[in-house]
Amino acid sequence: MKRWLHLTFGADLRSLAAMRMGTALVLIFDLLNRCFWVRDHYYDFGSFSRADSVLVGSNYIFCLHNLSGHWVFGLLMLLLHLGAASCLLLGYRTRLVTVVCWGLLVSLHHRNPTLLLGADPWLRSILFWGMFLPWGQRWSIDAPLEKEETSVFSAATAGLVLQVCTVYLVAGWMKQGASWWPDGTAIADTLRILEFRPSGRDISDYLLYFPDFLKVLTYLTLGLEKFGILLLFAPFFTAALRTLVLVGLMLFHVGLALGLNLHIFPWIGVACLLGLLPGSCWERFPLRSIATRLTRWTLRRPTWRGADPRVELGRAWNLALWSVTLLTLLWNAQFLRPFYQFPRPLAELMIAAGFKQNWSLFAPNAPKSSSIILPVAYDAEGQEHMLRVDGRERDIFTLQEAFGYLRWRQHHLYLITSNNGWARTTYCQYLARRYFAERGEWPERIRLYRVTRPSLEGFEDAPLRKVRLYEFLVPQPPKEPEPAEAERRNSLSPPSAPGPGTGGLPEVLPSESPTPEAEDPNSASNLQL
Amino acid sequence: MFRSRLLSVLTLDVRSLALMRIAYGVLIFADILNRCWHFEMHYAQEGALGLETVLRTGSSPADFSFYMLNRTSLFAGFLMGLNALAGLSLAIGFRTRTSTIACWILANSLQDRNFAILNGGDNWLRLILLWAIFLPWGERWSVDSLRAKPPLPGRTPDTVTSVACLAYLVQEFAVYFISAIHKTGPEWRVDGTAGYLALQLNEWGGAWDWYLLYFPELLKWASFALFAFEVIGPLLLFTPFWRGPILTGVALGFMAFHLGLICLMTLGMFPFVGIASALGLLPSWAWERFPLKALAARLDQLRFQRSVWLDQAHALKRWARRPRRLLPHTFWSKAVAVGIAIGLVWNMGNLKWISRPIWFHHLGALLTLDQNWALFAPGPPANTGWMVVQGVLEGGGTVDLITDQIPASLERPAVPPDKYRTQREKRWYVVLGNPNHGHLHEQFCLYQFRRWAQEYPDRPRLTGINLLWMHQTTTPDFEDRPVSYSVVYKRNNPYR
Repeated sequence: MKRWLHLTFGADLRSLAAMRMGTALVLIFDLLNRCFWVRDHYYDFGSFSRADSVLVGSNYIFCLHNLSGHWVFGLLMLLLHLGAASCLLLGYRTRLVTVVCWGLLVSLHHRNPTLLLGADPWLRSILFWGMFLPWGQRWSIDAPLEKEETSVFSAATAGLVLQVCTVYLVAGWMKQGASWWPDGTAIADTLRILEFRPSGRDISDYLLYFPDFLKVLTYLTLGLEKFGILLLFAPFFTAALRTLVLVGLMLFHVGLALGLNLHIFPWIGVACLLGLLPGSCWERFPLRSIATRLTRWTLRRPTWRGADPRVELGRAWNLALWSVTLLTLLWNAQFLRPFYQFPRPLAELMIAAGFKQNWSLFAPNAPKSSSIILPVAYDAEGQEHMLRVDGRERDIFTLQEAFGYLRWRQHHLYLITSNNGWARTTYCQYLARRYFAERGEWPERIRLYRVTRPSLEGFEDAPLRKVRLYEFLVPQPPKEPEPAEAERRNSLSPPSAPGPGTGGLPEVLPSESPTPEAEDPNSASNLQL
Repeated sequence: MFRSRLLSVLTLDVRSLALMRIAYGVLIFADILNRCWHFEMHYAQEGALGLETVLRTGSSPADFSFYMLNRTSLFAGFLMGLNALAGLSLAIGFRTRTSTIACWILANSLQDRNFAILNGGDNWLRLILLWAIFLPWGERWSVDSLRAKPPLPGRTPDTVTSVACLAYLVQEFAVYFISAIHKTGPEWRVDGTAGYLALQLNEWGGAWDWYLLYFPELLKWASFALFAFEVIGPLLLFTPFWRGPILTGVALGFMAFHLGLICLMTLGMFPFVGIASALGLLPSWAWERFPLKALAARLDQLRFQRSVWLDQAHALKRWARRPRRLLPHTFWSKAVAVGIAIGLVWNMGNLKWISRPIWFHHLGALLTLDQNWALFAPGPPANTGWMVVQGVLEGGGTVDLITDQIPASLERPAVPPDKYRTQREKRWYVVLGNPNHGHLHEQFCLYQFRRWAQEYPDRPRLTGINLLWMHQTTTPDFEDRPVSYSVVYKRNNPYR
């Protein structure tokens, strides 16, 4: 019994080290991507300003990235984060660096929550458990030279295992739609969603030629998520069955990465699953050589050693971690049982600490349509200019090439939701500024259209439906735009208006969003697929 | 010879700096207490100015404010408490440099939290705090100085010569001199009516200013004298000859000017900051003469007297830091030199002598070197007024929501600034009275509806609020000024 407990809820030090490196790589990739868009996403003149950021989420949020609104500050924070993530990869002062990575990640997510994907809560939770796991014990600068034990069992390892199970179980059991069972068309539907098309790869088109194969894949996915994951706790052949399930899930994630553009989602899954591998794996064929090589590298590490990463959690910590696990499970239970409500103050705390998670991935059905926002700028002559997500002008509108960076799609998805209509103003201001930067004149108005294309069974083009979401009248600035600071900290002289503030544009007009009205899809622009 | 004369210009007395430190610490502490009067209205998210409004309208992206990290009023209160503590610790000179940095950061954060209640004094305070980080103002009469071995006065030299001293002198120079350049109106330079106009201002008037109005000739010559002093006084700060007496005279002149302001006008912290920052100008020459010499002796002796207070200080001594001076040719003294240049360029931009690119604005905001000394410039305005927040009650009747008096009176109060509890509250209503600040009105009215319902549940409820700006135009020859009003904003109560 004790052995079973250790095997199922414990973890192997090498697997944890592999998870550490995988997580660090994913984090580095994510942060590099974010660096590229720092002026668009983490700037007061960007698509989501600090003024929006302080309004969302819970009262307990403590967001370091809100300290300053300049993109240079945002970039510095990202670089600091990157430094910490690199140290995590190398395992230098692992515990400290994990805490930094986690804290900065939670703060970063609060700075701009519109960009979040399903992968982000997962990454957050891995880093959270990582703070309490001895994942710097192997293959790291910190690693001790003499190795006694190879496996570890604590509240943290159990929490990690339960977290992973929760992801798949909730994702599986929320897929109640007919397209998953009995029809089995869900994966085909997913492949037809244009925003997720990987650019430059036509593998998803190719796969659509084999509907029966996709049907089998659908059932396999559903089975694996609903029941397969329970094999982690098999009472016999535990290690073997566990390996089998994990490999199956990893293949599933690799398949996701090949067929869909899901940004870091598949890879964070793979990294996380690595941490659950039983220790015996590392003594068998393909992993053995990797392990040996990594160990050899560790022994050749520099003489400047980091901190000792050994983790002995006290009773209080264990208790705290068990309650975190319990709360996470309760949190997820509210999605499976709609009549159960998580108590509000506790929920606010959970949100602020980064435990907000929702694993309803393509559930209950995969969406049968693609829908995004098309921004259109109108210049003084009433001429239309279709804009890209980041405000540059484009000639031809296609749903497919709209998003090179998946987080932009999340941003659009966020703005489409009617609850978040208030955030559209800032986005329009941002688009107007980008338009100005490109053409040297302000547009007269900016409209956001919601463009929807239903996915059809075959390969024929579906008609696009275009609905006006929001219209923003661009306030025409004065001839000489005066920067804000000159008049802001006012002196004894009678007050004058503070500068344009974060607008750069002057005062924003009242922003009642016009009721969405259907428009003739062919009127506006040369829509083309 | 020439070199030593030049260096004497960059020399300050550490005792004066210590005096200035104590004054600043007390001032910061008192300011925080004063701000607490209107904590909810001015700093809480549920008050009249939410974080999102501040970020959208009043701030530059390069500002850094710790008040933006969390939106609860608990956190804002925590930061203000920290600020008060930092002020106290500055006053007693405990870990002076750390305290100074903390005061500077927190002052910037606080001023960025609510931009609508500031005046020139706040600018001045945070700029002097910035330069003081590099000044040895904790060397005397501080807990830190107890760490110095042996703890005798005179171990360190009484004077300090550094770039930071220059920065401080230039700052004092800028406040007065640049302000004089801004004063281009005939009221200051030709007619000499500036004093008369300034005393007529409802926003700033004090209780005694009417008395001076009986002496128009005096007022006229006082205006000219003030203008002349604002030009000559700051220039004298850099005199290489007779520095002792001249600097003493200038510092006393500045202080006298600010004392006059305190007596005649309601300017909040501004004159106090002026006096505190003039204290640091006192040269060694002054410390060898009558009143200051006695004071210095008293303060030096203080450390050897055993008293309860001092025992506490000795307990703190364990964590105190021995003060260290800024060395020349280090990175920081070069940085200070660059800072002086940026400050001067900023002021030249204010004077429209040069145009500043946008990145320079961001840089200035980031380094908190942004400043504006256009005080009563080009001339004191002739238009002046006060605010009536007229709440309309259910079943008829009105209430002035500033004083909560029923009915709201549109008469001119005897001393208009006395209508407000603090100078910052007054400043807030003056800013609100400007129709250009439309973005502030809505939230303010909603806050007042909530406040009224909460504070007076038994009184009739509000149906709406009218923001009335009562204004007068000052006429040149002491005539009666008729009062008129304009409705700045109207709002119905949405909570009914």
